[in-house]
Amino acid sequence: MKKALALILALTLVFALAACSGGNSNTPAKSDTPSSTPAQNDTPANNDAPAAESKSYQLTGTYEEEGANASMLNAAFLLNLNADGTAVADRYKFGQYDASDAATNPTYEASFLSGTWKEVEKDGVACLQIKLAYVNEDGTTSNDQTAYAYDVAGEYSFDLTFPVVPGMSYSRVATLSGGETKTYADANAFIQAYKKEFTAPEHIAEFTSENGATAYAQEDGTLLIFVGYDQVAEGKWNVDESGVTVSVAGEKVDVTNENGAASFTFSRDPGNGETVDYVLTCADTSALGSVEVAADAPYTTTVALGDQQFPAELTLGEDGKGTFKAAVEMAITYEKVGNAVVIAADGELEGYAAQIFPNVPHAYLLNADKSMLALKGAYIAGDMMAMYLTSDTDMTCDVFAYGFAKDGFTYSLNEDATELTVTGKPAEMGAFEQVWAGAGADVFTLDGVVATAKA
Amino acid sequence: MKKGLIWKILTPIFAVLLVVCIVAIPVTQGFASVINVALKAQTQKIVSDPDAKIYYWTAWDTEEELVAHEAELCRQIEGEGAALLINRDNTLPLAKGTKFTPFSQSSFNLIYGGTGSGSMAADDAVSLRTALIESFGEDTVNPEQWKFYASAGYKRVNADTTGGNQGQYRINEVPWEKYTDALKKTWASYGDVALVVLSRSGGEGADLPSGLEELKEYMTDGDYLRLCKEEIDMFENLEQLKKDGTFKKIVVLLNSSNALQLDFVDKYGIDAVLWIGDVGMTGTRGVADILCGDVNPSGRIVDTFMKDNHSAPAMENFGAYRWTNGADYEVESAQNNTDPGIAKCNRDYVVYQEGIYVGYRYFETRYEDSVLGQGNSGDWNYDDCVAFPFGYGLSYTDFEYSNFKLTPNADGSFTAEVDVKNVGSVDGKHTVQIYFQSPYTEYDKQNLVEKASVEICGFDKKMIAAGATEHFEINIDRADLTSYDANNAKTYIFEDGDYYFTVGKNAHDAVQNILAAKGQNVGNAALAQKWTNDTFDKTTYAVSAKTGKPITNLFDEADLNKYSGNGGQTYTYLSRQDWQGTYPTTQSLHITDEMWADGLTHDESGHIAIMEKMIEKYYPNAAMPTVGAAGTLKAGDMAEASYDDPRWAELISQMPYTEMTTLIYNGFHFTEAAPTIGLPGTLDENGPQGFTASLMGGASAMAYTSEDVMAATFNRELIEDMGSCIGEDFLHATPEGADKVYAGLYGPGGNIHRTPYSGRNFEYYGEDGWLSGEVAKVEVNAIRNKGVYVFMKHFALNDQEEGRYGVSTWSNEQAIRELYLEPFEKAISESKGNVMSSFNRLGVTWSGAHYGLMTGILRDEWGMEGAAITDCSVYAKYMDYRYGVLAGQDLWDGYGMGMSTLDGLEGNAAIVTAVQERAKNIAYNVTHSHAMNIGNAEIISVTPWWQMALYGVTAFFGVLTVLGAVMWVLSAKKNKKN
Repeated sequence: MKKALALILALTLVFALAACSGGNSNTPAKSDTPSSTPAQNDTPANNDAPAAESKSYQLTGTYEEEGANASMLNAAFLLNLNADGTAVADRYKFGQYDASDAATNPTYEASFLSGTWKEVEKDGVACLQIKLAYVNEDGTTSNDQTAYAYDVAGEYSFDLTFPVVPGMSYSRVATLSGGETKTYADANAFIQAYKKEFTAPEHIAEFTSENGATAYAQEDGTLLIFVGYDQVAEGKWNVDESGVTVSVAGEKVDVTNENGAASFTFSRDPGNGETVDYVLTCADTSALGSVEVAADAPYTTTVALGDQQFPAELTLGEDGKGTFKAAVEMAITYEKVGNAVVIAADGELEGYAAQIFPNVPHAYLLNADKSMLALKGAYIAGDMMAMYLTSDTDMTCDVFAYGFAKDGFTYSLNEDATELTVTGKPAEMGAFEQVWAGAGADVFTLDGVVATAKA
Repeated sequence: MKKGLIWKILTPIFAVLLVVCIVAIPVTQGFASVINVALKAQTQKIVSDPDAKIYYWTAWDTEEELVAHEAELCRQIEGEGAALLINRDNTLPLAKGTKFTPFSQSSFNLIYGGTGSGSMAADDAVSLRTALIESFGEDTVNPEQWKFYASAGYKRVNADTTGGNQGQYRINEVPWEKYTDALKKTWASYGDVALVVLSRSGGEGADLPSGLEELKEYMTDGDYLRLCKEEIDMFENLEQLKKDGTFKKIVVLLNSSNALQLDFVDKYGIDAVLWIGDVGMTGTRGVADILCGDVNPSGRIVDTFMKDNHSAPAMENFGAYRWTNGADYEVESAQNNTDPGIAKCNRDYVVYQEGIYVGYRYFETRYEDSVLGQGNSGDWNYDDCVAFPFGYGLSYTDFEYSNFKLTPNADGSFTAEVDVKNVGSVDGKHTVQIYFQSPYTEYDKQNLVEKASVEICGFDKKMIAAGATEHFEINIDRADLTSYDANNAKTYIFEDGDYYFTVGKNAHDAVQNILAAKGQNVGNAALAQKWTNDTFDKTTYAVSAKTGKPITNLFDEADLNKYSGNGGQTYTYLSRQDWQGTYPTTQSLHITDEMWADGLTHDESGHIAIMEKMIEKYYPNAAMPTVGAAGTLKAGDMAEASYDDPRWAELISQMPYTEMTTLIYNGFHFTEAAPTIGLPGTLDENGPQGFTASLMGGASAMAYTSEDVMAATFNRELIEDMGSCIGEDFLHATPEGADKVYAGLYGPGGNIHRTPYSGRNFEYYGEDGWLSGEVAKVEVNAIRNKGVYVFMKHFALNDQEEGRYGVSTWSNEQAIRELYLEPFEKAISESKGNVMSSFNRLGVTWSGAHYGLMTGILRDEWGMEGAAITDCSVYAKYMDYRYGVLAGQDLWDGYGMGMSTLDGLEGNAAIVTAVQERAKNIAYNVTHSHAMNIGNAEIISVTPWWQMALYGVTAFFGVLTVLGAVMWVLSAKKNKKN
């Protein structure tokens, strides 16, 4: 038996070694010759021998950003400048919510960067010279940096540049600060100080995939899609006669409804050029089935009807139709004009509605907080700019694609409101001058919501 | 426990792990190039040829000598490139022992270079304080002020190295109230000079902001190139302190490659202003040399410095403008580049509506028309716009010109001669600048050919002793006087009419002299000469002098007015026929279906359709070439072969298709080895301030000044020396025993300063294409002579960072050729340079896929030999290999992963033909570099260590699985038996 085992092991090793045999030559062999490299390079700067210092310092700092890479990049750094002259920077990627013991915690990278430090006087200013680098498997270094930490308000401070991928160009900067006080006794204390707990968004049902994605269905019909701990997309869910329906980023996706379960596929490129499919499944959709998806909250303002002020609500549907409510609810159609809408009655209004609607403003500037501002009119000029008539004389211009607005314009309309003349511009046009030049004129012909520069 | 249970449990686990490893082998193979680079894994072993000829030797006995020379050279470049703009009452030079108090946090934290791929490690650069003390003596820089800035907590913020944006820039100047009374008390003791440093950074990926709403609380009008309120406050206080006698003088250093808006230099009691650009590692010593008078300033600015940066017409269309109907084409969801923070590839456009009127070509031309009352110039006023003209710079002495003479030569060139007398009391270098004006004729007006009132066409620089006179003779190539007529002759023309030549101390001086020659009461008519050409010549320059091939329109489809798919969208280029009527306005454009199909598409079917159209147009009769033939020819045999040596075809035919595509796909800072033909792999690195490997995690070699400072020296010898040293840095960069040598440079930059706000102006020589080309020619030649191939970037019309990934750039052919291609031309045609194609599109076609650019211009007109690399192509699917190789794009600065679109096309005759040509060009570069110092060596592929490890782990689990299975079976038998 032992012989058989030994034989199998030996054969396997032979196969393994054969597979591992590296190169093959396509050219006739030639004898070796000395290297012809004409000259040699300096040794890496980080190979400087550490200078023993009697003091030690501890500096800390964090880097945080939002977005799909947040969990990979957001981190706290613990830099110990040790009395033996070594500098060791640990990285704790708190965005992955693992607060386990540092020794086995995959999100805690001890000695992520390392090197040496010493107290120096640079250009007459006492500071800490800190040399750090990423040490590769083969002992060579990447991302070498020499930084100088200066005393700012009683603490030493410097900007640590850390690589996104060691040895490559992408980097981020974290400001580290600290002093001689050793705030954190060890890595675990540091983890406990900076740990974060993942709080899933409020939801009434979850869709999960086997490869790490979760979609949280919220009561209001919002669907938040996470990969790991990063929100990577947002969508909507609903229920109709076919079962659960889902749209992601405004696009409807196919949902399989079967035996009370629902599943759909969400595809995403994580940043490597390859699309990853996540099959998200909710095994029990009963919670969804019992909940009506709320309509979008209406935009609100007040409108004057006669001597009275009435609250007004504007609800916008996805098909260019909606409702406007001021004393009574009226069906409307709307057109988007930059960040404003211009509404019209949807069909012939009757009763009170027919009396009220002509007397309320028909243009509104929509605000992010769901309030809205009544306008005298709103027009698109030159495709990219909207003109909001905020009073009978004042106007705001908005290059909505760029979120770049300017008020302080004045205007007048001709008698039949088919021509708008800009009668004044802000004293300080600044860079808006360029934008305005793009509009092409100071007089516009009006047709519906379109303002065409008059030659 | 039941016997055998352990095997029953372990065996499936081993089997699963074995399967994981087996699956990992092909998966990781697909990313092998990336992993190899990331892990620095050895992939080849070179057995050198014992009889190898060493083609490129270092000229230095020791590296220390080289380093010392480079440090001194950077100092000289700064000393000759820094331009003195104002020197009231001979404030400069300052006496030794002068005491300074520096002002601005940037005085402590200078800009040594830009950010991004051209960034350099500047931690050990020579600080301003050190340089001043070296020149002026100990205790000449206010130590308390210096310490204050070290600990003030205010620091300039640059945009992120990659993926940055305009909104990240901050000046962060120290508010005046932060200066303590104790600190203020030190000022009088160091009160000879308040030395104010105004720094503005620039970098890859983020143009400088102007008018950005979100930055208005930090910058005046959200404009990074204007003084911020803290700086204004500082100047107002300094002016008062000067009146009070605390400071005697106020001297300003402009530490930026982006021209600050100089609307303040006549205020605040400023005594002197010195433009220093980005100073490199030791350039501060050159600055101090000028301040103390050890060096007499001789730099001449290579940009027009404006009082109002928005007075340049290019500013009307600078940036990334969204297609108005982009949503209809789902441009936001196009997956073309997943780099963090990088915009999508087909979302934006920009219109170069100003045509040729960039920089001084606009200001000086409109000035002439304004003086002559022509061209509907209106009430436009030159002095409201221009602070300092192109070519401007003061000296500590004065120079007088006499005996200006122009002589036509038999070969068609001209010789301009002038005597220059140093009429001052100190020696100094002086640059003679020769400008010309070609006639603006009725023909031009009818055919929309534009002419600038002056263009620089020659220069020379000499040291002139005080009281001495030097004679200058400068040759002018007639080809440099031609214009491109894109509408009638459709080639270069040399028109009949009156030409004026002049020597000018700057562009404005030049046009004044020409106006004087025309009878106007300005300038000096004696320094201008008229020469009349009787014959309209549209044939001589219609043929490439380099290749003999015809020259005609190649960029009609980059001109929206001519593009057949414009959907009726047109605009008018700025013309001196009607300055006011044609002045640019911000253009609003939408995508048409033709644009989508011709190049903007991000659908695979669209990409295939483009490939098919290109094959039909450019490879209609392609026959399948021989691939993978048996042969004995090796790369080493071709090290001295000319580009048209017929053996190239034989060599390349020996390569299997996949070896060629591997070579083409993988060029991210390296080239792959091709073992079949014994071609070694190489390493490539970034410029342009030198060999700047720091971006890739390595150490930089010498980092020189920004390119504009180099150009501002107007000193070809210095540039040549620097180019040679950059080449030397490559020779010295490869550690002993390394499997690849550093053989290729990504630089210098050849785009121009179309506006002051481009993030990468520090990587470009200036606003003038001709001057840029002259400097590049010298630099590239010197680097090339050290066996380093040079990819000049970014070819072409990549004159901004916003939207650079695929921005559709619209211009006209005259401007494209006369302004934007000219910086590259001589470096390619005369200095054997190569190019890096750009991210942007010309019209709707990605530059690397533009046949007219990559083959028509580069090969047919300029005779480029060797390869063109792309800009970083990692995940950039719009930089599709298929139409790139068909257009003449050779090497991709990325990896094939996820977009290896040449795979499976080994049966397509056109593609294989193109792929072979690309492989040849890459091989030509490598074989004509110092990588061939190994001679006709044997290149052995080495399985990298991580793959070895993976195989080992696989084998290990294989053994365990087999062992477990056997033990499981035996145990089961035993149990059954029992």
